[in-house]
Amino acid sequence: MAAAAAAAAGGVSEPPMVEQVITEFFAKSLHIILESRSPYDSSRNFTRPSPPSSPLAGSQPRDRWFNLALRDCPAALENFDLWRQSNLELLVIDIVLVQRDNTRTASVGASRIIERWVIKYETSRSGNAIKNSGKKARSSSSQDHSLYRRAYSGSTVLFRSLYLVVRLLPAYHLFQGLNSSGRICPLSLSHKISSFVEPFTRAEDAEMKHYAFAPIETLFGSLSLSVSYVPVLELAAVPEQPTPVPPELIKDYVGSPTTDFLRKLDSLPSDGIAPACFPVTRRHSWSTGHGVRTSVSPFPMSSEPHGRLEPRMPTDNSPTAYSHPHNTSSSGKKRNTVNEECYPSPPLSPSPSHSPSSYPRNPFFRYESAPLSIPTAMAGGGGSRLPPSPRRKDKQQCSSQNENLTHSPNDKSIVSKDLVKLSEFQNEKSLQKVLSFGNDDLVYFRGLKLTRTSSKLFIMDELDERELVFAWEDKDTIIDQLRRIDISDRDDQGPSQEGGSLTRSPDAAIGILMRILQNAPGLRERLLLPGPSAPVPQEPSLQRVVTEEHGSSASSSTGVPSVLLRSRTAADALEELNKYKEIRESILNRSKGHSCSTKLLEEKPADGDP
Amino acid sequence: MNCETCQLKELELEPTEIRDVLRCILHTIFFHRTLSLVRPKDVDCDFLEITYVQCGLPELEKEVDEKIDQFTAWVEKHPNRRSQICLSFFDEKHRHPGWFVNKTERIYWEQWFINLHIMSPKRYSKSNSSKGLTNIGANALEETSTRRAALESSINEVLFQIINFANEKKDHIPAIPDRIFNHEIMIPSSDSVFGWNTDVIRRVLNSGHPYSL
Repeated sequence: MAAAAAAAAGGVSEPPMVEQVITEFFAKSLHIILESRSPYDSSRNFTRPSPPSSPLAGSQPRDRWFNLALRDCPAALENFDLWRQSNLELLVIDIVLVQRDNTRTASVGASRIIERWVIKYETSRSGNAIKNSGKKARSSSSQDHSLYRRAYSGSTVLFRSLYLVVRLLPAYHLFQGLNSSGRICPLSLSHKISSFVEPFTRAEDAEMKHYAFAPIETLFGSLSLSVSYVPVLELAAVPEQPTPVPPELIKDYVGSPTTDFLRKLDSLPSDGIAPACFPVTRRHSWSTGHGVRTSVSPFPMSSEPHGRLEPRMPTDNSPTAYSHPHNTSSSGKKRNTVNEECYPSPPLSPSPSHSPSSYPRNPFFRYESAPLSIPTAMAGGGGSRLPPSPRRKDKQQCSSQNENLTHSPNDKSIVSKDLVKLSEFQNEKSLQKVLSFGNDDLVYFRGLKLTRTSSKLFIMDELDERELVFAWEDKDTIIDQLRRIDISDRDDQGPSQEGGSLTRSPDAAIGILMRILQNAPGLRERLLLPGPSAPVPQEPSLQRVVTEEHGSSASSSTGVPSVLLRSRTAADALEELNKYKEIRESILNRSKGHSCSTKLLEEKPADGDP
Repeated sequence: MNCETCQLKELELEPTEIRDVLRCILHTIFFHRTLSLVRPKDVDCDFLEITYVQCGLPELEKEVDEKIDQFTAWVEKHPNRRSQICLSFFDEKHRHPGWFVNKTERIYWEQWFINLHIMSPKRYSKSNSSKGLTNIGANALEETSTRRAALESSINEVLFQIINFANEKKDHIPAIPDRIFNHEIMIPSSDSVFGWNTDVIRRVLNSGHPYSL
């Protein structure tokens, strides 16, 4: 067929072996180019597994051609042999960058040719043919063989070059990015195969660079391969690698404990229950990605005019609120004055269907259980272990607010106060925590002191040293876990022990943890216990640190149906135990260097003890 | 047999980039001159935004890495120096043993000269102010980024130089064997300040081969 065409065109034809080389030359070129330009999933029959270790193993017949084994790329070769009429036809492969227009429903958007590969076989009626015709007459078979070998080895080298060049051109990086990105991207690469060249516009042509491989000479012609490409791809929407976000101060931070809930939704047990009651969008800088963890945590602190870093209060009337660490000696008047401030709206407005019973059923949170008794003896007496600080006033106010709310039997919307005192690591190394619970399973965190490990240095700069909340590296997780432990620990305490404080060193916390693990009842029975009235934190100088967990451990969240709670199994318990073990190891490692100071704190009463 | 030589453009790089650069260049040459069946393996450079191709032959990878290790050790002893690495392909011919002549003779048919200028990384003067340090750090980062981009561009040039040479000069290539061609990678000798050339001279003298340099 091809030979006949060649003969018709020039009156000469390549030997059959060379004709075969030419045919395979086109096929191999197409394969190599599209293999690194056409997404794999476009192939209908991409079945070959990962390449075998040996080049020969699993090689296809076509791999043998030019000694280059390629991945299966059916998209490149589908019907290639059928539609191609003649080796004299051009093979033009346009690589097209398609940018979908989001405003249109159709998937067709702006497209642009970023590469054009042209493979052609040209007969040279005067050159090689005349030059070689005499030789051919003399020794036809040996000449054919020599030509075949020459064309074949030349093509073999050329295809190695082609294989490399397609990876050096800019479009390859785009191809890699599109392939590696799991996201839906408005960009895609397409290709168009034709047998004629649509001329570029003058502007397009001026923009493109050209590269031509050294041609492969055959008996009566030559094979050539060239590419025109856009040297610089300026793409606005190219998927980029996630880059770390530098920590920055967010002055209008509107975060609230509810964001903590929401974040933890990511790590909820995968029971297929989606927190549909939450709006998808959140107004937090740290909530931009559901399940997307950046290497640098956003900074959920806001800066007060007097140099404090505190979480901003939400602005609506949602029940969620949080207070600053407080001093119980503060007056009720003060408390009332801060009420508004301490009742910001959560950035997320739960849907009306958000009933208390729909709150998180994470096994780590046992909201229904009795609140931990907090020594009442500490309630009014101050007894702050923290040195006085300029922020005490605010803390008192906010915490007072909490106290009011938790004492109110009618107010079930504000039911929780989770105070974790993590004083300066170098000074006390103590962990104080006060929790208060309501009668139902609603849990709201108040009095938050938000710290992020990534913003540790910043916090240290901005905060009063005495106010410096715990900003241990990687302690977010530990604190969070310990908080949970405290919650469950307090389940065992009677509701009569309201308020109070506890000061814990990490070692003490470990001891408590172990005690909990040893005496822990079944998950379900505890989870389903109705919680008694909320205890009131009495420790005046307690601070609460709310930490965010980047890990995958499940945590509290709102809006999860109670089915989740009841579906806890032994596997869940085992998983929980494993997490506790990890926490213990982590704490032990971190507290090694501070054993002296922690020893002092070990003497302090454990959770719930007055 | 004619011995074709290719002098590659000199690359300026820092010691940390030696491995990336040499791997990239050596494997590219090997890929172009390993004409037996290969299953190519794409490799992304560690420090550079370049994807190159290996033949997918573990033994070859090991050999290249060992030579790079030797070269890196030599560079540590001889910092801030221009150096040359030579990759040669040869045929072996058996000869009758005689005086001053080895039994096997190497007939070199192609040589690639990789020219490198290894430079020590710039040191930045200390500053008392943290702001100054920050600026210096930012400048250093920017400078490194700019330099890396320039190096990537230079390596691209070298790669295309290899591609051009490999495709234009191929008539001298022996018949394709069923394995990789005989080759050797010569690096500057550890006991010689003159680099690998003394090694070559010694080898030429020993073999009696009319070595064309």
